[in-house]
Amino acid sequence: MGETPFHAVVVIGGGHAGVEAAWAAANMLGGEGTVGLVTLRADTVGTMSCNPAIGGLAKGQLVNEIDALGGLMALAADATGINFALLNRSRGPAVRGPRTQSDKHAYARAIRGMIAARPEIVSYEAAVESFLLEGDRVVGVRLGPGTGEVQLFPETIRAGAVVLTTGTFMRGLMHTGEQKTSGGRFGEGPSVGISAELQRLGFELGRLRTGTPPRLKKSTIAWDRLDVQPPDEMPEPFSTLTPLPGSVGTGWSVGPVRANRFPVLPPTACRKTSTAPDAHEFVRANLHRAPMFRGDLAPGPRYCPSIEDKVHRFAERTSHTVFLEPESLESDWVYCNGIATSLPADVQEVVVRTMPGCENAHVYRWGYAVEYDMVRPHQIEATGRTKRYAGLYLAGQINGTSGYEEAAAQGLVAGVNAALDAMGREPNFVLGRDEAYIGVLMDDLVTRTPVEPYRMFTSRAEHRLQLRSDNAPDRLTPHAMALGLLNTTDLGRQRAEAFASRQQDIESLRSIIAQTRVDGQPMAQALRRPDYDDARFGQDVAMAAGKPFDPRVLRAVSAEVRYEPYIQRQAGEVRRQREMERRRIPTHVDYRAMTSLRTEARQALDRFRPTTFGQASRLEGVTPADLTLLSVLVARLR
Amino acid sequence: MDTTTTIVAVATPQASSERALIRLSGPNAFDAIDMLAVRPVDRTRGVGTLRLRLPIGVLPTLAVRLCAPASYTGQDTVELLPPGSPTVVDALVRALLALPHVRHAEAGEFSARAYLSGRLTLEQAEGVAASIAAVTDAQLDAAQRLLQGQTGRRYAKLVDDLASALALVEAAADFAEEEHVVPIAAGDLRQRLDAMLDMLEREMEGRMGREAASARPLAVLAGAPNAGKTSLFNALLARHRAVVSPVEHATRDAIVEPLAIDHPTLGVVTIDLADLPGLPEHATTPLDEQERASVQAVIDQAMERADVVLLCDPSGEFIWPGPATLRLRTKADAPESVAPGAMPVSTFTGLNLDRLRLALAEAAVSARQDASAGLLPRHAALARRALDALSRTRQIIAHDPPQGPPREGELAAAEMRRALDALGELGGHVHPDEVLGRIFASFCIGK
Repeated sequence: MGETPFHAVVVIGGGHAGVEAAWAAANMLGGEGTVGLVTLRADTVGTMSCNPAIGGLAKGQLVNEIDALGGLMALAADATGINFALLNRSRGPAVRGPRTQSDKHAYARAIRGMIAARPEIVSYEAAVESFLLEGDRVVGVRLGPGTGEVQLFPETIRAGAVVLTTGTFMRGLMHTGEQKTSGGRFGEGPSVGISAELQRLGFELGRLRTGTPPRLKKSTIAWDRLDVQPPDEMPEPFSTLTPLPGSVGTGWSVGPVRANRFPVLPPTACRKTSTAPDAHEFVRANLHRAPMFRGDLAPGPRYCPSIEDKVHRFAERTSHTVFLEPESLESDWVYCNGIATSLPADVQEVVVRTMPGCENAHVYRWGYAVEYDMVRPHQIEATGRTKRYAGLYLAGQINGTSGYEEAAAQGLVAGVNAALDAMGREPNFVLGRDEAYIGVLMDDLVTRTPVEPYRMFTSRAEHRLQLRSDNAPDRLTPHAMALGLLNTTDLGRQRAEAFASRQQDIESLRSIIAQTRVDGQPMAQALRRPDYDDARFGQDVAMAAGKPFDPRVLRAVSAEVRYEPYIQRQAGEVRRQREMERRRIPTHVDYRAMTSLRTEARQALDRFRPTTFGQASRLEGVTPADLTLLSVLVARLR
Repeated sequence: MDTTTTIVAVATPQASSERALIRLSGPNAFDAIDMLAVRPVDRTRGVGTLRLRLPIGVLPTLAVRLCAPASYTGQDTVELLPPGSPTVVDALVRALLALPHVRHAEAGEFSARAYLSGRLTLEQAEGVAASIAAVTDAQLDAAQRLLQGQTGRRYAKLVDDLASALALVEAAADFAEEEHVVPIAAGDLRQRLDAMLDMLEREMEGRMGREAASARPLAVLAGAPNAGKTSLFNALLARHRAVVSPVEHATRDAIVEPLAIDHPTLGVVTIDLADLPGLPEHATTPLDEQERASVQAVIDQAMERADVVLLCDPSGEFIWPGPATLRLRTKADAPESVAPGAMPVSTFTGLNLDRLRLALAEAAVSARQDASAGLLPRHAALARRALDALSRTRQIIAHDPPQGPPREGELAAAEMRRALDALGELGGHVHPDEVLGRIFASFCIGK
């Protein structure tokens, strides 16, 4: 192919960040062939490299938010989930998190099917070797051979903006005991050139690690002997477009993928087993053979310790629970949730074989740790755009995060901004910390350098009571409409209509609440009582309105009323914070010349180059008084 | 720095002076004053006397109203000129800080707003920047001293206890499905909160007790009648304030004046210097019972509050019932008047007066090492906010069964987080990441 194709947005990488970026850019741009998607291997697009699960606490909220913004992940998860559970069901609505295990093959296929259904997106199977630059602007990429079968690709692609999502592939190095293999995922090679290219362009790289457990063959496990972990009887979908169980609706469809009922796939139970004391002894005796204890490994996540880490740090525990999760209805692979490891195969074998029910288990694949390069995220803005080069956006694990949901959320943000950029508009799509977990995520990335792969937790969000699963559309769909994300497809228009009718329901519910008394007190007060649950609330309002309400709307409104006094108390702080976010700081300030600033503040500002006073206020080492001084210094520059 | 909140600060040095100046500026300045005023304020008048309702009673105070943009900051501004007693000023500031959308000004914030609204020129901004930087350093030094002092240590412990408790509450929310996470029991949390509330309440009370006394270190000149105290007082202040009289008991009441001492290493140290009446028992001219009692009362009160006692005795005998910080052999006009352990001083020759000033500054600072004790008003406001948030936490979990987890953990956590943020400047900031770190350190997370 001698010609140089042009795409308004070119996305590099077909993982969870990449596909979401391409999807969002396509939603923004419309048209045909406006988005290019470059991946090493087209048949691995949408792969779940590790645990085939979507959602969880805080992560589930991220998925709801992606859905509210017209994204991909919630739809794919609903269409392919085989074990839905709402975590923290017994706790307050702000800390409930929807989760599912998906059929990993069905999931990746759904993603590929939905991407393929978009005329906007053109795929290439190739590796990116370098960027085409015009001054400080990235205007395209130079390609080399990928690792797939198709070796047909243009030498260069020109682009309005480029989104780079490398996952764990940049100089990926996998460890199993003493054995090291180059690659970003089992059986797949690394991308090497891109790291050198980023360094050449002046980016500061860092290195992180994550791990994965062994996979077993289900038919060799004494499955029926083990405790059952059933899914929820009344599963809850992620997307507001997916019908609730038992309800008849049109649902949605994109290309070959659809959900006109729920759940789509038959629910599948997991099983539970546990590690044995003998295995712990054996692990302890072999700790010196684990790469992380040889001290030559990049930092890994504290929230997802390997089995060797658990044995070492929590020596008093003689057993850990292991969840055996079927990876797919189409295969008999089982994921061992709880024993991620980089120990040599012979030690892994002892750990597996001493777990009850797994005495004769066949190991399909050994666990491994993978190390990879990241671009330290202080070098991007909260839009995903690099501060160094216009037109270049980074999303996903390259920014030091972990998790499909965190990656997808960044992909969406970067995809929207790259599209704005390519359209000649200001790439300024940033969500506030009080608006979305996505906002918290992007803001944390640009104000603190991750020391471990960054994962979302509800406790990271100071406005957690507002950032709920139940109100994601109310918080974010208006943004999607204002951006134009819902104008280009039937699905988008369907979402906009559903949102409008939801808003009507919410309005009428609010007025019923204002006019109704329950047990001699105003309904709003009753809703703050623990014994007045959603079931009673539903009955009472149905009676008042003469028609039942959608349970999802009921839930959103009851949570809103319940938390209202607390949210009110934060209103002043939110207002103040928004004002700080509104006040911008130019990125090219010469902080070193601002000698009246304290050295510590000057260094932090020089490194992170915050784009707003709000970001500056969250930097370590910057005090309120420093900000006062900075506001004078910055105003003088104008 | 945001410009939408209304900021307040005391513009006069914290001392007993005739009038203090408290400045309130921002979009809410007028509304805020209305909320404190006994009667609705006449907004057409620029200057007038307002009657403000404070916890200590109704305070009539002179007020000047400046409408935006015709004020220093370019925003609506109210300048209050209450009587300069530290107690009154403190009560007023505290009442203002309790109003919605009002907070304490950061260092240099009035000037920063003035510049941002175009009220200052570029050249003036240079000066403003330099002075903010200087105040910032001083403020950080003060904060540093606070953190290192005993008060700071008490707050640091409180912050640590609170962060640990919050980690346990958060663990139950973020890691509920983890098998090894044991949620904190409501009863346990109640006990911890009670201990924290108790500590904070004691801190706040202690502060008020101390502040009623004085905001600045107090040095008193004590000694027998006619020991030369008043001459020394005037010489140290380098002016004639008190009536110097060869007649005993010319000084019947304690006279207090601020004295700023420029110390080469400590910087400018400002103290209150009090000239006490002579001790009645050393009087050569007898006083009647009533006079004696009233003089004694003045002395006792001042001695109780004093951080530094300068004992003056021209004879060098230093017969004195109470503690003395420095012994001064006054009227040491002749070189032979040396007494062991005492500094000879002379207001006549100026002997050792400079040395005495420096010694006075050092004594005052060391006496107040722990007097970070007296929290700055902004710090007190933060401690108050923490106290309120913890009280609300306590209410949220008040009726939960003691053995079970808090039923509304997310609400308890929200209030605890507010308290922790408020205490940041007093006991060290705790980032949410650090709370997570505490969870990972105490529980085996990761199934």
